[in-house]
Order: sequence, then C-alpha cells, then structure tokens
Amino acid sequence: MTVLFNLAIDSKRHGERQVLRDVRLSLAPGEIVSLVGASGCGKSTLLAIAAGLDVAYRGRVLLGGASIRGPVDGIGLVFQEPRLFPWLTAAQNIAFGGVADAARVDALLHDVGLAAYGAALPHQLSGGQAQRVAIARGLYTQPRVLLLDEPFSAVDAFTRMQLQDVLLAVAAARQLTVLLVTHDIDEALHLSDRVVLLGPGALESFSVAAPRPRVRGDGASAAVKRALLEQLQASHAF
Amino acid sequence: MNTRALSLPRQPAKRSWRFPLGLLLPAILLIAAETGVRSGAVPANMLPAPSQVLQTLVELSGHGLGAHVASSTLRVLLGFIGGAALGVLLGAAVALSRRTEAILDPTLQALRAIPSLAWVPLLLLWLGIDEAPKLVLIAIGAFFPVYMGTVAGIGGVDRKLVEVGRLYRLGRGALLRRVLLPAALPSVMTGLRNGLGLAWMFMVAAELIAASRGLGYLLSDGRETSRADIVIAAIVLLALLGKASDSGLRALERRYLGWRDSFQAIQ
Repeated sequence: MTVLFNLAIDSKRHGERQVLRDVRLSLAPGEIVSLVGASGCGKSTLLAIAAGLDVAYRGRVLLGGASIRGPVDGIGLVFQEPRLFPWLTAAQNIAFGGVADAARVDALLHDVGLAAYGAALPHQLSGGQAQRVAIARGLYTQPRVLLLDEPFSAVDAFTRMQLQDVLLAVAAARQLTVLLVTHDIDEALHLSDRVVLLGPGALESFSVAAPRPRVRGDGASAAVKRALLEQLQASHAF
Repeated sequence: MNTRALSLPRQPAKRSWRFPLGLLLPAILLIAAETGVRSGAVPANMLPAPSQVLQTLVELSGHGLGAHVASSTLRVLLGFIGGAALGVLLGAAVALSRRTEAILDPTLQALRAIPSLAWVPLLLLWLGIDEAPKLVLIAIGAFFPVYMGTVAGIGGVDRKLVEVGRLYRLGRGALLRRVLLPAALPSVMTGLRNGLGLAWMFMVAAELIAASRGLGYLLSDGRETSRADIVIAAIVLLALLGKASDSGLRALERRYLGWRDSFQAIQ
C-alpha cells in the first residue's frame, strides 16, 4: 500500500496521564478513514497532533514521506464547531488561511452549496451553513489531507446527512485523503473505507467494503457494524 | 435551495420614533422651569428661566463663546487621543504577556485608584499652568477605561479562535491584528466611550482650577460674578458636546461592530 499520511506516536502525555501510546496509523492517497472510540480515549488529541497543533509528543508525523511538526498547508483541519470569525464574511472566513483569491473562494462556496452566501456574516448563517463554510476554509489551502474532528456532531440528523454528502462530494472531486474523528458508528460506516477503533490497546482496523455510492440503512455494512460494536464494548469493559 | 432569501440587514429603519421620545423629558423640565421662574415660584437669580439662558448663550456667542468651546473641545480631543492611544498600547501589552502584566498592572491599578483631583496640584507644580497640565490630566482620565477595556477584551478572546490563528501559522503581529484586536473591539469600544466621558469630566476639573479660556473657565467665571445663567449655559453646552462626541463614537461602533449578533443589535 502506498502511504500518503503516516502517524507514529510513541507517547503523548497530559501531565501524569498517558493519553496515547504506540499509535501507528497510515492513510493511503484518497482513503477515507474514520477514527472511533469512547470519549476520553485520545481521539481529539491524536487529531491535534496530526494537524500540527500539538507538538508536545514523542513520535513523528509524515506527509508524503516528509516529516512535519507544526501546521502545514498540505493538511486541512475542520473543528467540531465552525469557529468562524464573526467579523468576517463567509468568503473572508474561507480565505483566512491563505492569499486572497476570489475565484478559489467562489469555487469552494459553490462546492459546499453556498454560492449565494459569500457576503453573509456568520451570525446570519444556520449551524449547518456555518459548518459548510468551515469545511470550505479547511480546503482553501488546497490540502492533500483533510482532518475533521467530530464536525457534524452539533447539527440535527437531516443537516448531518447533507453535510456528510458535501464531504463525500468534495473529497471525491479533489481525491482528498480524509481522517475523520466521530463517535457515530453509522456515520463512520457510511463515509469511510476503513474504520479505526482507538482503544486502550493497539489500534484496530475494520475495512468497510460496501461499494459507493452508499445507501443509508441498507444494511450493507451490518456485519462490520456488529464486529465494531462488539469490539468497542469489549475494549471498554472493565 | 432558496439562496436569495438572505439579505444583509443594516440598522433597522424604525429608529425615528425614539428621537421625539428622548426629547420628551427635557421638554417637560424646560417648560416647568420657565413657568416656575415666570410665576415667581423660583427665584431667578438661583435658576434663570430657560429663555434667559438662551439669551445669555446668544449674547456670549458675540463675546468669544466659540473660542471657549473650541479650546475646551480641542483639549478634550488631544488629551483623549493621547490617553486612549496609550491605553490601547499598554492594555495590549499587558494582555499579551504575563510578564508585562506582572510588571505593569499592579502599578497601573494603584494609579487608577487616585482620585482625579488629587493629580491637579502635582501637575500644576510639575508642568506650570499652561496647556500641558490640562492635557495630561485629561489623558489620565481617558487612559484607564481604555486600558481596562483593552485588557479585558483581549484577555476574553475565545481560545478556540486563537487556535484557528495558530492553525494558519499567524505570527504574533498577525494574530494581534487579525484575531485578537477585532475580537476585543467591542470591549475596547466600550472603554473608548467611557474614556471620552471621563475626558470631558477631567477637562472641566482642569479648567476650573487654572484657565483663562474654556467652558470650565466660563463656569468659574459665572460663579464668581453670581451669574447662574452663565453657569447653566456652560453646563448645557457641556451636555450637548459630551452627547455629540459620544454619538460620534457610537456611529463608529455601529460601523465597525455591525457583525455582532447581540441583544443590543436586534433591539
């Protein structure tokens, strides 16, 4: 397997507490991987390390074979909340991380379904619309890897489905490699090629073989879901 | 998708009804004063009739009232700009660095506790009776609210927004300019408005004590010559000037803080 993005975290501590130990995770180009696990298992910490926001760990992060420590344009990040700057318009928020390029902003607005909203201020957007802007901002620096930290957890079920479709569409169009943290097993199974369970032991990978485009609720990944849930329960039984 | 439904609302158009409502109370007071004095219920040497005050204003305007107003306004403007600029600068320095805060803030808080009038004799001793002590006193008045507003504003910026700045590798200067200051602006703006109010107050304090021109001088001149009409005329002018300058800052606030999604914005 060719590897685009490689995480090798030997150790990450928060004070006395060992948060991550011997985590090895590789993503192939164009692969969509979901990271699941109980809350507090270190999912968000892992993502912060992957994004370069947390550099106080032992180990290394490789993007296309090159070691990185700190944020880079090649890796985009979408937070759990939109985190838009309230004094900037949607278009200005999207272009925040790079040199202003109106054409690229317009293309991104179009891709996330907000073509007419470039001049809107964040408080004029719904939660789902704001998160679309956040996704567009994450893509503005033209990253090869997009990281998302429970990006759809704060919206209603219908909006969540819409946002998932937006993500799948932009990922396919740009051949993005995606690492998504989620606590929603169904979301993980619908979006990913592979679901990775982060538990107290080593990472466990579950391949999701269902062909794309996928239909929600058709049971195509029922066996994987059962295996995942069993493992999730087992890993958190005490 | 109904993408055209979104418009960008500016200020709501239905503000006009408030204006006459705000004038109601002053109008009632004026009428009460006028009738009170004319009927003899109130002695005219204590409370001159509003018409008398207006007449005094007209008379004074032929005798250098414009110069009084101009010199007071200029003092407030210069003192305020100096004090406010220093307030933003030191406030930002203290909010951005723990060490600067540890060094500066305790001293500044102690200075803030000094009553304004306590500065006057010292400033007169040090700087004489020219413009310098007045400007410095006004600057001191304007400084503290702006300083406090800037410290509170920057200190209160959402850590999550700062993290976005870090994600896009903003340096210290860019983080300050693109994230911290805009986010702190509402609080800085409140500080500026309070600072401007205190600048007018300190200007009067400065002019009451030593001045040959200005509204504060007019006040003390009116008292020495037992001219209540002059005193009240000067007070009215102070009220109008203070309100006008505050309205100027409010207009700036509406212009630059229109992005706020707040209770005040929808009222």
